Amino acid sequence: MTKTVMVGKTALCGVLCLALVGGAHAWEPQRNVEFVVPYSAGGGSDINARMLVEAIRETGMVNRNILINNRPGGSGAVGNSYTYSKRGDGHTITTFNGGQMMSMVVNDASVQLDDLTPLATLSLDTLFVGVRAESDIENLDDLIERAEQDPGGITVGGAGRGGEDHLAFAMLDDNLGVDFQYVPFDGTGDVTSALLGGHIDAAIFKLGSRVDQSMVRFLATYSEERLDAPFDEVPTFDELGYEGLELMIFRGYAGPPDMPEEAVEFWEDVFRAAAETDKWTQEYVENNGLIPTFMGAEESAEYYQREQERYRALFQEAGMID
Amino acid sequence: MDILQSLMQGFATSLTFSNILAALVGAGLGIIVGAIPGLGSVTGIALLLPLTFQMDPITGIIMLGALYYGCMYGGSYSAILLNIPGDAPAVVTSLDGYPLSQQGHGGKALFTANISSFIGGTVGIIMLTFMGPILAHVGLMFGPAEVAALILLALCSIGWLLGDNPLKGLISTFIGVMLATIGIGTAFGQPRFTFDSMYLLNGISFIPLVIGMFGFSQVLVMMVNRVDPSAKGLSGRLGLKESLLDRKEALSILPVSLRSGVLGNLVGILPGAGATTGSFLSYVLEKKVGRNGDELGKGRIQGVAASEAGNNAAAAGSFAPLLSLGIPGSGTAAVLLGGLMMWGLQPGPLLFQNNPDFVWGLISSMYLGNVMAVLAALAIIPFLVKLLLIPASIMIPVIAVVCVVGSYSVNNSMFDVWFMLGAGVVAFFMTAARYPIAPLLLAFVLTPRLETSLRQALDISRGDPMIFLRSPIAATLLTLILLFVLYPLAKRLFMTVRRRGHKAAAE
Amino acid sequence: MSSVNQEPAHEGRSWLSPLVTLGIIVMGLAWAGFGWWKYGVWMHNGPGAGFFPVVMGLGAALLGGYELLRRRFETDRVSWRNLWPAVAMGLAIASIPLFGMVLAMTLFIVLWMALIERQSWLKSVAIGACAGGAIYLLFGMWLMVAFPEGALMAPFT
Repeated sequence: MTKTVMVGKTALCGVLCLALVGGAHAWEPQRNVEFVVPYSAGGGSDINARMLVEAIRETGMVNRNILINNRPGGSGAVGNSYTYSKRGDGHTITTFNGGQMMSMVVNDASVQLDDLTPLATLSLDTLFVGVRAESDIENLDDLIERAEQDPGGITVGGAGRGGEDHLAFAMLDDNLGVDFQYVPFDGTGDVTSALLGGHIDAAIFKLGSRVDQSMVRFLATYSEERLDAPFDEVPTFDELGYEGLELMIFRGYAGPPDMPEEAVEFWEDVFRAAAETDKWTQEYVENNGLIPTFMGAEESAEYYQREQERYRALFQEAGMID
Repeated sequence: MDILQSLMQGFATSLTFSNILAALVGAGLGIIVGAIPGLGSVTGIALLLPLTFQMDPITGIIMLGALYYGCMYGGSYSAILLNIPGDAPAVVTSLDGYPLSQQGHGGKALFTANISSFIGGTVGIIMLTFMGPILAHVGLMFGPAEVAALILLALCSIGWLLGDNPLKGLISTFIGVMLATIGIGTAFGQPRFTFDSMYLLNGISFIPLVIGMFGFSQVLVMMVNRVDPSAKGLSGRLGLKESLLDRKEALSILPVSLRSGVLGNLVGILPGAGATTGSFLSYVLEKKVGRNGDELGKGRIQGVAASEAGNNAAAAGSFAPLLSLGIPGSGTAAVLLGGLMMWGLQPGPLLFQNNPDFVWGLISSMYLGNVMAVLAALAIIPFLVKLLLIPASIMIPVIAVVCVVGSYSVNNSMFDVWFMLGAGVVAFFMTAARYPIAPLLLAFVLTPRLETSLRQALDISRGDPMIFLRSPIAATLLTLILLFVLYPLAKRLFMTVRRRGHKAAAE
Repeated sequence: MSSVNQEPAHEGRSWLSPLVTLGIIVMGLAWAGFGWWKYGVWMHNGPGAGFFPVVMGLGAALLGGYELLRRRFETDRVSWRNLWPAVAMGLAIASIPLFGMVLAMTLFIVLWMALIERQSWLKSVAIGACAGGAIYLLFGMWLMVAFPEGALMAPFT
């Protein structure tokens, strides 16, 4: 009995594998696909989505239109709820990145990670702490020394509250053994202006915001390993002897809850193929200074889960959530 | 001389047939996108951006730059013709633009808007060409304390606009500030007045608010106060000839546009101050120094000119920090920054050295885009003014529908549509009770920036308010506020109260 | 400031102005109350999240109170007819989940023109179709705005 089932399963698997090799999928979109972006047109997630659609078009694997649907509001919550409302639909996908998950955690949003179906992760971003290029703060030790002389008086700027930059700041504040003052700005542009104008002492920058090294001296990076040129001179916190200051911001994609398994597989394959196109690797990932990666549906789900717990712990430590 | 030479080389790069065509297409699309309430230059550029990746970077940026300019031109149309400002700076344009078109001078208002946009934009681009990097560095001197003082100055200047009833105008301003505190601001990071609704978490969206408060409430007013275009003799006054400015009028808007262009450009360069502050301060300046300043707000072409020139010059100004420092000065500049990176260009001080072709091509394309936009705009004005001839029986339902579709399109949100409808009804009652709406909207736009900058300044100074006085720029601005704004306002309120006291005593 | 643009004031129903002012006073007090008790007026180094709400709320409430005491209740003439577009549009918006955005708006124009403006049905349908078509082409096709699709339309897409 058991044996026949086993045999049946193997046979079925063989058939499926053959089908996959043949390029046909058990599930394919039957109508236009809706690509939800929970942020405004023109923002980072929006450009990410629009470029991905171009890359997917190049693979030729989706024979229906993929339409971008911007649903901004509630720091991503409005878009996430919209995706959630499409339960069981294989024709809805959404961008899902680290900042989006942070705001779920910080704002205690009604739709959480468990309410979505992770599909794939295609790139990673990380952060730096930097000072003005003319500053006499040459390295991280100088910055720490300043903060020891003037506890709470050294200002560190970053974009927004409760997002990537703020979290990176909280890690800095917790792990370096000195107190800094966080000053939130509306965007990386405003942070850079304030830093270059000498209004703040240091600032947090994302790798993806491509700030010019002729203006800003990066003291350390939150990445796990040294970055490629032109940032290969910037040491990681780990190298400098500070542990636990690692933060990679994932940029992934998800679907609504209970997305059919065949659809998950389909999208996973599409994303994998799109991640290999020149359009994606060069025009998007490389030009935006991101770190290319690929994680499939299952791996992404586990990764997001781990990150979510880490975010929660870090925000709790920083006193931003209970 | 060096700059002129580079600029000429830039023109040599940009003036090809395909680039001029791209500029014309971009300008035309921009005018349409800008004229549609609810869609602005950010959306327009974001939509067009992926298409331009297929093009040569210079052609792409020329198309986007022209689209940007086209949007600025188009944005004034709905403000003037329908009293629906498509974006925040156009609120200021509607102050004089809509009264003008109600008086049958819609054509003149549109022409003034476009010509002053052109002059203001050109002033802005010339300043960008010759002083861009210097101005960008001056802009850096404006930190949180200085920006807070500047926005406070703008906020207090609303006092100048309060017509016959300053008390009600002041109350409206306060309501605008109150509405702006809804949501999680950058300043405090705690949700206020959101009542646990995720739709209010990031605050009220400006565009649905403005479409409701200006556009939809206008529909409600039109329902009873019907003006039959033919009865008013409008048709005779809407020809091309009547729309053109005569010599005297053209001469009168020239100094206004130049002044506003310079001021708007300077404000546009400052981090985060934005085009609204630029056009609004230009308007206030005109009200103070202009020859017929007192009559602004009743339908004067000088008011339209000040606002539009200030707004376009500010837009050019926001490119200075983008090109010379890689810092986006506005939402649109931020989208363009994304575009630059996609073309593999690193924005920043080295851009001028490493990619001079591109930078000067871009700058010269702004001249080109501005010329294309003004030509395209002038060509369609004669058709646009005919819209004013459509009878109310068609206008009412169509404008109502435009309000709904426009407010939906900003965020693809039905919540915004309902919000727009509610805001329209509230604004209708407020207007009927003689509470002016424009101060409310201006205060709403300015407040978040003030609150954020104030908080940042105090975080930096550890709560020491002296940070506002130690900085010479901030101290000067605060002195200006005391001298020019608060004093007359206080005097006026005092006089009103006293006059009333006399009247009461006489009775 | 549309009040400036209107024809010389009709002194209409005087209850409207005090009612609006009263609404503003209530809003001001609510803002001040939330600001004071919930958000905090002052924090360790300067104004807190409740500062602006309290100052502006109290300011609006006090000025509004003064306005009431002045008893100069000028009001533009207002009739129930003014609210018809709002009510009708409310119904039209409520029908969007059923018909979808484009069709609901087209129906609004057609019905409004025919029933309220008493235009001929032919003219109403023609204008409604033009407007609906323009919205569909401009927003739906060109700008790719994701309009809500109606439940009634679902079988056809």
